Amino acid sequence: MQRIETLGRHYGAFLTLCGTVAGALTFGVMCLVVANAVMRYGFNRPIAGTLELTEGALPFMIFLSLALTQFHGGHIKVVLLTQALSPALARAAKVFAMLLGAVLFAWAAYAGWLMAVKSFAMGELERGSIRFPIWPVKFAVFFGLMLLSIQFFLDAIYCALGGNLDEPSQEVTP
Amino acid sequence: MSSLLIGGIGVGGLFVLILLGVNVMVALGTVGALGLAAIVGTTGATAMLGTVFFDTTHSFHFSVIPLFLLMGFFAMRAGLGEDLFEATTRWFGNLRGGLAISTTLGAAAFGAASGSSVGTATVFTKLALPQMLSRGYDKSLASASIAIAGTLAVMIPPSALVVVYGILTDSSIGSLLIAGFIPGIVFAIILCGAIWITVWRKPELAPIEVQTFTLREKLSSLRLAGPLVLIIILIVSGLYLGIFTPTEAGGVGAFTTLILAVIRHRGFKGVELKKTLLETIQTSAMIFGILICALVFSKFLALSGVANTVGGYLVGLDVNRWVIVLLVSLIYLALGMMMDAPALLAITLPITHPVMMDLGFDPIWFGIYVVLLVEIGAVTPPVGINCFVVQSASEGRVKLEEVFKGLVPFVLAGFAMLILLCVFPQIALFLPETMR
Amino acid sequence: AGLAGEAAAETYKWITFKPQGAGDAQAVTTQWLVDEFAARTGGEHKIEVFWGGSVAKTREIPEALAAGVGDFGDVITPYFPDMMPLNNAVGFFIPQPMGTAEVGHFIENLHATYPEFKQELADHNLYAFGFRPLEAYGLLCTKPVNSLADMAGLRVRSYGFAYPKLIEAMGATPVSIATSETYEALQRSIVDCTPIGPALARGWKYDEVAKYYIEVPLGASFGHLLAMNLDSYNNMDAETQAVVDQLGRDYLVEYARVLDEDAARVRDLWTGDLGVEVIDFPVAELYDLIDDAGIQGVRAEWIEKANAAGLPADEIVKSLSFAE
Ligand code: NA
Ligand code: NA
Repeated sequence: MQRIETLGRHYGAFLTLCGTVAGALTFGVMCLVVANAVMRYGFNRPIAGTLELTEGALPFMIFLSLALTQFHGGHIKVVLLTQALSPALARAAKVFAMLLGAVLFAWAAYAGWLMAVKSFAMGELERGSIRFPIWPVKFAVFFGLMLLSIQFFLDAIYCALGGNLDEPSQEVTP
Repeated sequence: MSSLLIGGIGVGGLFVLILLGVNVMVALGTVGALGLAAIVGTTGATAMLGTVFFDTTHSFHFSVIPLFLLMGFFAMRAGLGEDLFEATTRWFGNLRGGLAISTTLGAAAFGAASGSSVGTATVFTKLALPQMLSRGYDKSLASASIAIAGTLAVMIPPSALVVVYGILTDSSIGSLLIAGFIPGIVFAIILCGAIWITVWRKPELAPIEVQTFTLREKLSSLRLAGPLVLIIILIVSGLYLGIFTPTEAGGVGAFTTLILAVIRHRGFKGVELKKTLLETIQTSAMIFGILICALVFSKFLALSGVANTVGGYLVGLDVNRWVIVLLVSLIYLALGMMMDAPALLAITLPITHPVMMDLGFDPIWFGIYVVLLVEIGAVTPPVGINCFVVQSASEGRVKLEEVFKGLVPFVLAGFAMLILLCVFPQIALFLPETMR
Repeated sequence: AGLAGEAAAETYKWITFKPQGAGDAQAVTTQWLVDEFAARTGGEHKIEVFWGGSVAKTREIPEALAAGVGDFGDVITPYFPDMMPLNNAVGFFIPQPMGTAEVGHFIENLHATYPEFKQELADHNLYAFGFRPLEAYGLLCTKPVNSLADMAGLRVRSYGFAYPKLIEAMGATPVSIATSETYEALQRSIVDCTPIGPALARGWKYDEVAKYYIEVPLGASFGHLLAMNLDSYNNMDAETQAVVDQLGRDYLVEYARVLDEDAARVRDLWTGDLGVEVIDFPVAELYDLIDDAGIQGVRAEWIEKANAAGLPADEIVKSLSFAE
């Protein structure tokens, strides 16, 4: 139990690092979008590649933070039935829920991997007002989905060993 | 097994998983992917999983979601909520129920700048709840007025939830954002009316304020509220006059609130930039996670034929189209008791949106109508996210039952607003139509 | 049992990004094709259409089709220059002299003459039975443009891989904008012009906010492949395959007819209520631009890929060049 907790903490620190990169990108995109609007109105010279760069950045922003959100227990779940279950059954339901997440996102990560490899093999390019390879963006999708699958798996083990995951009352939604 | 049967099993399976406490994103994705596999094989399902995650996020348009959220978080850091509450308290504080009314108006204005219903409810629970309770306000009235006021953030632009509707239905996001402006203000006024009627019937719920402010103090409070009002004008007029696109509105809004936050904290240190950015990206990731998994589910639903069949059934009913509106509303209110807003939109829109379009309703109008419906769901028990947030942010001052108990007049106010939107669709359509 | 060899009635799935109610040449002729298929197979087989991207959005269609999520689908070729470079031949050559029907027959001939074109699609488990070129494009602008000199400093909506260089060569600024955002971009002077033809300009309602159509002869572009999952095609009996292939050829004729009607109707509307002014453009100025290094660079890219695939590129591109 202690080992899985330590592992979980280290993994969480790594996810926070990924999230910080995503956060920095978000900040960068904000600056780019504002600068582009200012350059367009002020100087009739929009910044070439604003659209392509923003578009390319969003998957990084999302997929570098997806697992961190699960780490903090922020994905929406509903607890109606489980509250009425016996503790053992409730735990089993929780482990099942986490394993389902692990399997789904492992599947999705595998699918993302296939897509990224294909894109790399054909040297797929973003061809707009600026050009750059698109496959790193696709690998980011794969990477984020894999991180999320692992986080669900860790949560499942932690829960099966008797750990208590956060209840959803703290969650933030739009 | 026929596709239709597989679709039916999928819909049932989705609800079972959700009730079992599987998180909504995982439930939608699992049922969607397995359903696709059952209809077109695992290769097909894998191909869809491969493309949908990249395709949905590789988009300039959708970068508006993190930018709106960033704006809301910066607004909180800039203390815009506090300033606004202070200003509205000085003006309306000594009416009966005035503190609750000023909370509603403050939340409406703050919510205008923030795209987050829950965020607004959190801020005002921290700000207004202790004040109301210390002045003898009824716990139910105080907490419920905050929970419902949070929903105004979603009606008044900018709003992440409205963007979610736009993405799921391919509607013009610019028009949708503008469309929410007048309904948001009207709903704020109706909520104030509901508070006023409640305390008029039971004066003991809200003691009269003793502290009064001089005109000078009142006027000086306007200066506090000034920056926020400026930002709202900037965003709404920028969108309305076509100075910038929704994405740019998000960028400019976030940038401006960041500057205000920096000014307030005299430097970057107090802004807690890293923490703010981490909060923003996590909320964004959560919304996209739900959105994408909902798209997987909706692809499955489309391919199974269930969406067409249910939709066809509704359209084929030989009744007045407003009866269909009533049916659709009841479905949302029922499901809204159990689900929160983005998930609810994601699950239902693939079916309801084509039906409403077939019946000749305007996609922008339906967007505003349905957002109001799911926001009513955000306060109704047993799953009322806003109420959870108010309760947990109250640090033990109120119980969940007390929040729910106070909501009756506000849910009725929500129904009044729904009816108003049906009778006068122009409330939502006037601005987007003149924009064209 | 005992039914071997007898074709079972099949319902094929057609996945498309097109909304059913669009009512334009693409949507109308898709329905025509579906009806014809049922009629020509004597009601034996039919096609069920999943409209409006409900199953797969534009950029998902090739993958979805290849994996058998659908049996039929329309692939917007210019979105996949790296996946199917050869089939994108026309897209690398803007401007070029051919109109809609000519471009369609050009691609049809390439598929008939050089097996490399079919092979490129077969590598992705796809088969093209028909070709849907787009209409001939000009420039739709929010201000009058009478010559190349007027283009200087204008912001022009750009997409794909050939337009950025062409727009730069014109002395204008390319701005990348999604099709769905172009209406707002024109209205808000985020862009001044967009390359488009009359029918599509009406379809997207761009002509509500941009009132000058400049007859810059950019040529018809290609376009959409009417594609099938290769396995689904191979699993059809020879008779049904023949029906599909003939339908593909007939489709081009029917589509070109509907599109021409549509374009003529829109031009009528323009002179009437919509008040869109059509302006002639000194075409020689455009031809002179083609030697521009940027434009030639894009063309060389395709020629190189075609040569590498063992195709006589120089022979093929003759049709894509303006006669000197
Ligand atoms: Na808002
Ligand atoms: Na609820």
